Amino acid sequence: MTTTERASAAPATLSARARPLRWVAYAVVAVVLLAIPQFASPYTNLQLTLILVYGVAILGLDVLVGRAGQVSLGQSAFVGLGAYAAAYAFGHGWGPVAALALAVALAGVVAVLVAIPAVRLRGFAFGIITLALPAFAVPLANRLVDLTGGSQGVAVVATTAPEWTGQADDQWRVYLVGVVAAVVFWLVHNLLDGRLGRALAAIRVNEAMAAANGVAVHRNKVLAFTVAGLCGGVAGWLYLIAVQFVSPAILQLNLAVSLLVALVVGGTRSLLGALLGAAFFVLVPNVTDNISPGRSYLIFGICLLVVLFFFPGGLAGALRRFLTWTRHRLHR
Amino acid sequence: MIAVQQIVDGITAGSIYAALALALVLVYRSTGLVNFAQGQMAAVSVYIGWSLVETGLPVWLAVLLTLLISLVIGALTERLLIRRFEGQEPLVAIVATVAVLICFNGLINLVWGGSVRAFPSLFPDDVVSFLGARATWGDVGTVAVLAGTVVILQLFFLRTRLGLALRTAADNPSSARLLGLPVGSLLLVGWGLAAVLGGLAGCLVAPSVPLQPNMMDTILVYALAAAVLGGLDSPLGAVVAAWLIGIVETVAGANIDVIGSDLRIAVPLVLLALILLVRPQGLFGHRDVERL
Amino acid sequence: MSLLEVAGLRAGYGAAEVLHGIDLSVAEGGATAVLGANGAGKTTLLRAITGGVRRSGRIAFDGTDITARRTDQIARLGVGHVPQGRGTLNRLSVRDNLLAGALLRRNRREVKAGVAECLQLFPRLGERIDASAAALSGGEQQMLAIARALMGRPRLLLLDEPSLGLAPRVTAEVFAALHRLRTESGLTLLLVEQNARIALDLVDDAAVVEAGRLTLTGPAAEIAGDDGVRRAYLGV
Repeated sequence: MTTTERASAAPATLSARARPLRWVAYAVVAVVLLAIPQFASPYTNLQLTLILVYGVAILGLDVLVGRAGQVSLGQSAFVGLGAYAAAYAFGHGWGPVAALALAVALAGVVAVLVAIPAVRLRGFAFGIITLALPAFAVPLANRLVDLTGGSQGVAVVATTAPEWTGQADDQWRVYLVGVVAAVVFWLVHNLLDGRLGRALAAIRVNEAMAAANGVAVHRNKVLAFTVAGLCGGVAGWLYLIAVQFVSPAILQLNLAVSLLVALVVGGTRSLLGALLGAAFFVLVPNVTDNISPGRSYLIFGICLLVVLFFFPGGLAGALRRFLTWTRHRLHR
Repeated sequence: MIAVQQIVDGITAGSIYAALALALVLVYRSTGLVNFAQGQMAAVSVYIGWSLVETGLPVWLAVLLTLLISLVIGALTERLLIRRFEGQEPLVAIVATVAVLICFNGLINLVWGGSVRAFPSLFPDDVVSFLGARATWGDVGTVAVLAGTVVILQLFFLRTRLGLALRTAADNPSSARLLGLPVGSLLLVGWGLAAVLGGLAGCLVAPSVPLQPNMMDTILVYALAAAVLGGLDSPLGAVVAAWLIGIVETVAGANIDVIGSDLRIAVPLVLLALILLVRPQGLFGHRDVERL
Repeated sequence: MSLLEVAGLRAGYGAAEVLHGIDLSVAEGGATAVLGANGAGKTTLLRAITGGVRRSGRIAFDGTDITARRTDQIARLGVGHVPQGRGTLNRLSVRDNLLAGALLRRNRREVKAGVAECLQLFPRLGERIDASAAALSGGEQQMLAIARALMGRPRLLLLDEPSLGLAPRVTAEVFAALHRLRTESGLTLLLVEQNARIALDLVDDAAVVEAGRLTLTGPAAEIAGDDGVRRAYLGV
């Protein structure tokens, strides 16, 4: 009996027995995650919230970069746009839903307007053009002082925990952001499960071939760009909820590059990867700072290189391989 | 009113972008990836040059040694850090170069600290006048060095055997191997040369800007725009594009009030966008013909 | 002694094994054709010899074991390989392509003479000497690829499907040049071809590969006369 035959016999019995087990495991994880904010410090809750915020931004970026294969250096502009829109809305007494609508609408419109001419470009040319987004956004934010508060930024009270929940503000924010993020993840997942996902995969592998096979390449690329922008807008609204403050720093090219890096570190084409990448981006700099403030940046860079060297497929890929390995060992 | 002065200033600025853009094109042609760390590697070179000057060496000697050291740094970076990512998706390779960027930035902060320093000029400070414009010897020297570099590079690539070997390895690595060429070593050399060009860009701009770890960041953006505008494939194209960007940026910055120092960076990007709209392959690039 | 000796060669891509133990030898000055259908492993065989795929077994060139050597090292020993699809340097001119083939040779005068010889063998290239390789037709690119490999003065030349994608007249031109090559120099040839007829006309010996194994070997005339071969590859 060869190893291939033996291996194919294993999963059949495993899934029959393990499916209820798997759901139990998911439930346990979910309960633990939901309980954490009750016991964690406000600082930790803020970190968790930020992980969810950037997770949404990275998820959107993944649609354009990971799935459609178009490298974008402009995601921070959408996040910033969403945050500023939300700040404007909250500052003028709008409710949270209206603020979200404004953030998403603005981000979507800008995304479509930029995408339509931009997607005609290939490869690096497209990437460099997306650079223009943060390049324009930062000076604009600095100059339109009435709208944006200039370089000082804007502080708003976006939400506070309602009385009936009995939660502290930081706890409430984790849950609020978590719920919205979960909805976005679910929406994007469903969107990618269907025709759009297949079209983008074809485009990523070989654009010319995709076009020859009848895929509407330009239209799908614009769609991917728009989804990325919309997610960015939502992330911006979430950011404002979490941090209650926005300044031009969020629009910077720096952040756009960091999101791209986080995407690859977490793992492209993976929902979990978006969250893992966000976690890396939010947590690791703190850790390196604690190890040694002077060498923080250098250590962070080394960590990045280590992940890139040893985990092709990112952290999500590594996690998947680890789980597969444990499953095989458990079954021996 | 477009003054000759603005054009002169534009060409001077453009020459700096051109040097770094040449480095980017060289790396792209040989390894097929865009090296986002090129600017930061140049910054490391400048700091090393600064340290050499601090030991008392004459500036020209310090710069020469810096270029040599840059060659080694570039070669080692390719061999140890980048080689692994060369066959993979462009996205991963780009992120790898960003990681290298972060490491080099951290390295500068670690070794030299973040405080600002000054770099002495290779050229005398006097101002020279011609055609109604004024330029320092430093400006003239910059343009002259860049022009000379371009000529030397063209001669090197088109007339020497090593140049042909590099072009061969860049064009088709597997064919190059079948011809007996040690492709890995050639890539090393390519990156080394690119690092020298970057170091040159750094040393040319260093006297006129404060030395700090992020000093090459904006120049990198200009250089990227120039490289892409030139077609990413064409050294000559990158230089022409860089000069064009330098001139347009200076002229626009001087004549259009809305553009302050913070929006200047947007000018090359707008220029790039407009030209790419009409000619997606850049000024001198080739249309990619794909056989399915 | 054979210039090329292959024993028990296994090779493949990733987890898949394509060649399951090939034994082959080519005498110096001789020419062998490897025939077979698509996917039989012919290209893999050539790639294995020049180190382009994972391989095990024993490959010896002029007595030297090259089983574990790198591609460029093998090339430097005197093995030329014209890959499938030509592998021309498309951004370079025809002249530069030829010179690239001779990069390891020091003597400039000899290299110049080599270029002249190639142009004699393939006059068409002379007409296009300054053109970019990308602008050449398929047949001209094939000639360029062969000429480029010859510029390195190899002792053994591996040719992977030179007739692929070429019109019959152009194929005839290419093979006429190969005939001249055989008669004028002592070049040893190992030729992979789908066009069995034209291949068997050129070579001394032939081997048939099916599903990664050698099913038939022998002198070309015998192979050409074999019923199975005639049915499968000669359309008789």
